Amino acid sequence: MSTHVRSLVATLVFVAASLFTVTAWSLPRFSVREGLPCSACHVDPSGGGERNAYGRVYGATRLPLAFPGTNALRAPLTVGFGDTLSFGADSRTAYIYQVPPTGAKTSTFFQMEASLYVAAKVYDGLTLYFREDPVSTYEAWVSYERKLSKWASVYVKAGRFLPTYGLRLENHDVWIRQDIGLGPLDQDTGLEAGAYLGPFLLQASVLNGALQGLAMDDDTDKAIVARMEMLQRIGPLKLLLGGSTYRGGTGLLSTNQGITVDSRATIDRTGAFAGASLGRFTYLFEIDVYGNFPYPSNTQGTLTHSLQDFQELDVMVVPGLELNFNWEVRDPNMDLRTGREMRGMAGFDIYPIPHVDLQAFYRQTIGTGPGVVADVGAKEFIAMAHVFF
Amino acid sequence: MHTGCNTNKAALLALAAASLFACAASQQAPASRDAHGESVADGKVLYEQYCSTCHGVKGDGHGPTADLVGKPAPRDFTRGLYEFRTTETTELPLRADVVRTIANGVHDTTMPAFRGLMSDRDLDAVSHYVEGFSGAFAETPEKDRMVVSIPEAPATPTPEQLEEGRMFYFAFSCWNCHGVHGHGDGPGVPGLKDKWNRPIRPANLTRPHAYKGGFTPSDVYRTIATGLDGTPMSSYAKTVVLPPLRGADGQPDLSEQVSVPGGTLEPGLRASVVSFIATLPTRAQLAAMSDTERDRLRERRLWLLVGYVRSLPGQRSALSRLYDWATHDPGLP
Repeated sequence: MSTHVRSLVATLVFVAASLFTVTAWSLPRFSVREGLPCSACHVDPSGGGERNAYGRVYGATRLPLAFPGTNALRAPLTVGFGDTLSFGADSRTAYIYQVPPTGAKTSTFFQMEASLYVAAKVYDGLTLYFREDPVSTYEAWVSYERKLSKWASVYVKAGRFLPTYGLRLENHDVWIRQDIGLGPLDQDTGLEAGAYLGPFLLQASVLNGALQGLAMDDDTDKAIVARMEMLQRIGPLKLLLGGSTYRGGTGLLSTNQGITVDSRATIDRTGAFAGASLGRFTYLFEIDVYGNFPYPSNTQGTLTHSLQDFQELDVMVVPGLELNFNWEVRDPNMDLRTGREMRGMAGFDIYPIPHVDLQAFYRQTIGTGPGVVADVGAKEFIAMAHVFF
Repeated sequence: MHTGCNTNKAALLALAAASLFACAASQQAPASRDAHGESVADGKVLYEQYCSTCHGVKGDGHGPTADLVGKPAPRDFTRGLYEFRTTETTELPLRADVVRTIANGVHDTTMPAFRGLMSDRDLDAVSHYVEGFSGAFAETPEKDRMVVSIPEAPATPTPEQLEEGRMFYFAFSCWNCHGVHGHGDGPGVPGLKDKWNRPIRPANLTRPHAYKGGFTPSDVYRTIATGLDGTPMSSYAKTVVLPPLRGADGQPDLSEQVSVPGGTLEPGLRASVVSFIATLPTRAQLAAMSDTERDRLRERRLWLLVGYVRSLPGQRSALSRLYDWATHDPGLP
């Protein structure tokens, strides 16, 4: 078989594998399912974190199983002091049972998240926001939003937050987050501006480029992040299309699984994402190319280009019970023929009562070749309890 | 060289304590009563928690997320126009009607069902508060509102009754908006607007979850009988007992029933409708009826319409129904 044919076959295998993909902890699926931007349900104009009034109503009415007699379980939808000060929380506790390809089996309880949110609306449009998670790190920012017309609004945000990139999946364990330096500790500090123009959201940020929780930069080089999405309803079909890029910024990087990184480097990330929802079915997709360019003076590493792909399919069986499937692909050296690693997950997500989310998944990693790390072949059973308000 | 700084944990712990305090405070809503002993304050708290984000603090339908949730837009309560009622058209709804809408949600819209989240007392309180956005409720006590009685649903219609209901569907011009096959694509659709001058589309009657007022026989009867105020769907409680229009020659004038701007019925169907209308009681015959007889006629015709309309989803192919099952979001009311 010629090199060209092998390349073509490898590419087709990759594409085919990508097509049979799917979900887990991600919440962008709700955004796509409803055809609403993340900010419809969250205080943060970029989405995520504390839910706003609409998000609380949505979470309490649309997510839980329709069990009769749940009146007694009604939780407060507004926690705080009217519009001025509100609070929220997310707690995720996981149980992970792992069967590695070699070595002993392990099982562990893992507190993934314990976030407490405080949002203060100083006056209409001006919001102060704090998130503290003793498990990982904190966010603190101030934003100002202004509505220009029925279909247009703009915002600016200043402070410390996770760079606005890609689908913004809640699960930081997926390769399109953890692998490319957007893990739970990777909040950065800087400015972000965004504009909602009809179905379009345009966002741009200037950040220190210093990740892993570091609060200050030590040079003048800054990271530039740009993101665009279009969320459009076409009858019952909802479509999401977008792309994002993260350029530059020299600083300390995450030590990512499967990728050799230097302690100081310039990183580039560029990717596209998409989503579609029709009735019971919601599909999400993201693909990213990650580049790690070490400082010339640094001899620890070499130029690394890697590719990450994530796909998710959610099937709502009944309101409150969803089947989730996801499929991830990563290639540490961008050579699809060798060193490819894939991870599939299948499970369910159930909301038995308002504000409680229980999940159970089976996950398996497969792959081989240069650059592929030791967790290949690992089989995992993951159960998680998520409580939120 | 990078430098880091630690989070002020103590401050955040204080915030956590404050949140617990606030949480407790939010559970102690005031429960003052109005002159009738009703729970105004409870309703306000509930409304502002659950409803104001779409319907607005002032009840004008301009909440912060109103523009996001799409069509139909959240209802403006200040005009006292309610779609889902058991009262005659243009009448205010009963309290039970408002409670039912909040409890069950509105099909095929983003208005969720709150029955699992609110107690009966909560539902009553928030309904009372919603009514307060329009001064009309205070001016017209519930006992003065004309209620449309909804009789018990008859047995499953026979094929003959379904055909008769189908003829009424055309004779009363339902097809003008809902289309010949009930797909919501009738010739009168272009330019349809609601009372707020917003474009609006008729329901696709072949999809059970597209019935905003509900799909049970009683729901559909109520919707046809009372209309959906604020939308082009008018009440047929009186229309169904009006005599068919007649031309100068005394024969049925079918120009309005079977031919409207933008579309006409195919000749065979038109001929069937013409023949059917010719068999209906004349103006003189209707005038000679007693009120009781006319009420019976109204009920019969409405149920025939209900039977036919509710049969439309079942007339689709299995593939079409499978597609509908797969592509309908079961999380919607």
